[in-house]
Amino acid sequence: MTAGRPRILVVDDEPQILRFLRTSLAANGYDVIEAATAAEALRRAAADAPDAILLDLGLPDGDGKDVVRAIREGSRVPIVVVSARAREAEKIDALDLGADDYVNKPFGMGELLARLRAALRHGLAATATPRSSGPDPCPSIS
Amino acid sequence: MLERAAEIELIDLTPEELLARLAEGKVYAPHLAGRARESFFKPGNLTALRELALRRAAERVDDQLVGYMRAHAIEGPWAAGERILALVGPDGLGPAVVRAANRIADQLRAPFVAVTVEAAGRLPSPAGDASVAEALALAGRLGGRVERLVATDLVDEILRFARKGNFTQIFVGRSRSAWWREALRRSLVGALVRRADGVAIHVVSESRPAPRSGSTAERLEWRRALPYAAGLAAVAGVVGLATIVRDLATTANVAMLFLGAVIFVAVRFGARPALAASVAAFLAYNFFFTEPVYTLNVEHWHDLIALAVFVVVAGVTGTLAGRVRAQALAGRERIAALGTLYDFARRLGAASTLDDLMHAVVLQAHRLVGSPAIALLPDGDDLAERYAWPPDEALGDGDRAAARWALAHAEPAGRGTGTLPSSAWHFRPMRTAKRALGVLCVKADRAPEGDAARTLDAVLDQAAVALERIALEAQAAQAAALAETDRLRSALLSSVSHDLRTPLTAILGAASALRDGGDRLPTAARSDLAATVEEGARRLDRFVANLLDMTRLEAGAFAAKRELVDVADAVEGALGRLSRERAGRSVRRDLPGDLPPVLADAVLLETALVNLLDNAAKHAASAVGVEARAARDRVRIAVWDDGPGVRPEDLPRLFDRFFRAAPSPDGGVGLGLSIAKGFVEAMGGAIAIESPAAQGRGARFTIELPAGAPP
Repeated sequence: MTAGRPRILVVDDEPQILRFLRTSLAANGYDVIEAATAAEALRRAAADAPDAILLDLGLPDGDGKDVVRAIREGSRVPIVVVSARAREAEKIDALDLGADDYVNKPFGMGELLARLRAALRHGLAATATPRSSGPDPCPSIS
Repeated sequence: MLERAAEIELIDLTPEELLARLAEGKVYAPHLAGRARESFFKPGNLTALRELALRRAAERVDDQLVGYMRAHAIEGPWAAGERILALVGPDGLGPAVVRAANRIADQLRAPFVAVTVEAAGRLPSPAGDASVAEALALAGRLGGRVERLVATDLVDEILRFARKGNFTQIFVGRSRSAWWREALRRSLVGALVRRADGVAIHVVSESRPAPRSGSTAERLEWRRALPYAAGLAAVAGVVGLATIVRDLATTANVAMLFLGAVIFVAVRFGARPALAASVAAFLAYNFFFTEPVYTLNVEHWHDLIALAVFVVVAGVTGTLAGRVRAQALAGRERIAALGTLYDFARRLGAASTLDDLMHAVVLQAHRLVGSPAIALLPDGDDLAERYAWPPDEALGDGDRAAARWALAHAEPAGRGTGTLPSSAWHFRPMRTAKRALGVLCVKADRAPEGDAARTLDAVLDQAAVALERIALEAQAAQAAALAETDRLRSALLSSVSHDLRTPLTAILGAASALRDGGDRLPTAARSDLAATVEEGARRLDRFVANLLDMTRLEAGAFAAKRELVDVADAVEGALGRLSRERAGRSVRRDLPGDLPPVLADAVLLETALVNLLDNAAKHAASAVGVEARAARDRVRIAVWDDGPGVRPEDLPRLFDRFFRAAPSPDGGVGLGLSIAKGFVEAMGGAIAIESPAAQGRGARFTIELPAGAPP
């Protein structure tokens, strides 16, 4: 983890959404790295050590839930799912697989930033008192 | 119009009479009549018309006559109109005979039928068979009907067929062979000429394919006696021969000669003439060759035994020959029944609607049973009459109950059965292994029996299979339509949720960031966010426009204008409408200055180009281009990109609604290309895709439109 600006990995296949997230996050003091596919998301999550991940579920080369599962095999980095899927079962699935929070599209930028801050706090707490394994830490309900 | 008329009534006037009526003002008003007389009502025209009318009426009446004869099983010939029969034999003359018959049939506007007759129980030679097949195929091509007959007696069978079909002219080939063969062989032509009453026989010979003019045979009342006469002649011949050789041969050998003559008669003419010949032979043998000679007394025991053996052998031979003939006749009937079934099966195969099918079934049953027939099919809970022949036949309520019973139990009912036998009708189900699908009723005094019943059941079984086939086809079509509707609905739903949500997310997110951030945001970020809002709104607008366009295309609710459109204007307009994001990539334009305008609808063409350019920009790696070329009276406008191209398996569906070729870089709706295609076709143009376009990459869409006049 970097000491200065937190690094956020944004995973979305829609250039429009990537664009305004990049602009807003940069303006709010984050470093932004991007991925448009599931494969690229896994590669960047491993190589660039982001402090948190904003993850879309509908990716052209696979489902975002598989990305959550793969990342959780080796990392505790906070993951906030950002998806248009609004059904309860989808949220339960994603959270049980290891996501820390779930934001529905469309969303207000203020709410997304607040949830991102919360996820980063939990991520810091988790690294400060590392737990070996077992069920996911309870995601905070902010 | 005449073909469709139910009845034709012919009123015949001489041209002079008609002109007189015209002059009296009975046809046209007087001021029109003068002009009519000068222009069209000339005596020449009127005579030609009169000939035409008379001939059409005659043809019509001829058809009705043949139909009547068939219906009432009357054998011809019934002298009315001309009908032509071409006999095709294995002698290689078949094609010449068929051509000659066709030529005359054309001149007389008469139907012609080509027939080949196979000898029962004899295998045709391969060469002869090939020539027959060739001739029959030729007859089929020339518009003739083709029939195959099987017979023991060639001449008999041909004449029977000719009388039944009411043929007036028979064409037959005669090959030129050596005179001695001609003399020895019983000539088919000779026999036909002798025995055909009232039928003109045309002989087509080898060297001269044109028909020699026909000779009508004389009426021979005694032809039935011919086999008996032949038998007597054979016996007389043997007497003469035996008288010559009697000094060399024993009486037993003489008996063998007589037996040979009897067997010859039996094989050639059947049982009765053979029996007659054997009696004659017995008497002649007794009279001329047994002691005492020239009396009918018998002196020696051994002669008596020889005579007894002779009579028994002759009798057995005659009976056997008779049985063989009877079997040949039965075989012919069975072949006729098979032919009927085959013909019916072919018509069933061609029937694509229930009405066609029921029509064929009822007519076939009517032909088989010879009485009125009605086809009933289930209609909801009831049975509906689908076809009746004759058309005015109908069922009573009691009859319907019997019909329902027959359908429900898949068993015959009505007249001649144990169920409701008081009905005037006999009901037979059309059933498959699983269920009864319809009922056929025939009005008969008793239920069909034997061969007729078996053939009728065969017909009904085939009808049931065809009914099932039609029902399954309808189900399959319905299921396919439902599946397609379902696919479209789910495609529309997923497209709406994705294509509405994405721009909405961008707009909402960017707008809220602008509001929250306020003045803290750097200027560049603020303008970027504002651009995102604008971009999202444009995208929403285009999506809604596409949906509306699609709806209009589907409803067929717009008329494409045909105006002169400048291609460069249309391209610039389309690029202007494309988003800034797309326009970020440079579009290479290659539009010649001397390009003629196209005949198109400016708005539709621009929309089609927008969709193609949008699609190209989505997939391009680095470059998008648009170019146009004039090709004779057409103009081709191509939009290309250097992206990964389209997978071969996606090409056929690329223009389908809601079809998205994978991988789709930023989830389009799957509407753009289908709209482009719809619009281009509505303007009378064509659209095509070529992929890969160059070096295994890229795609190239080409719109082809008619060029307008040069500016």
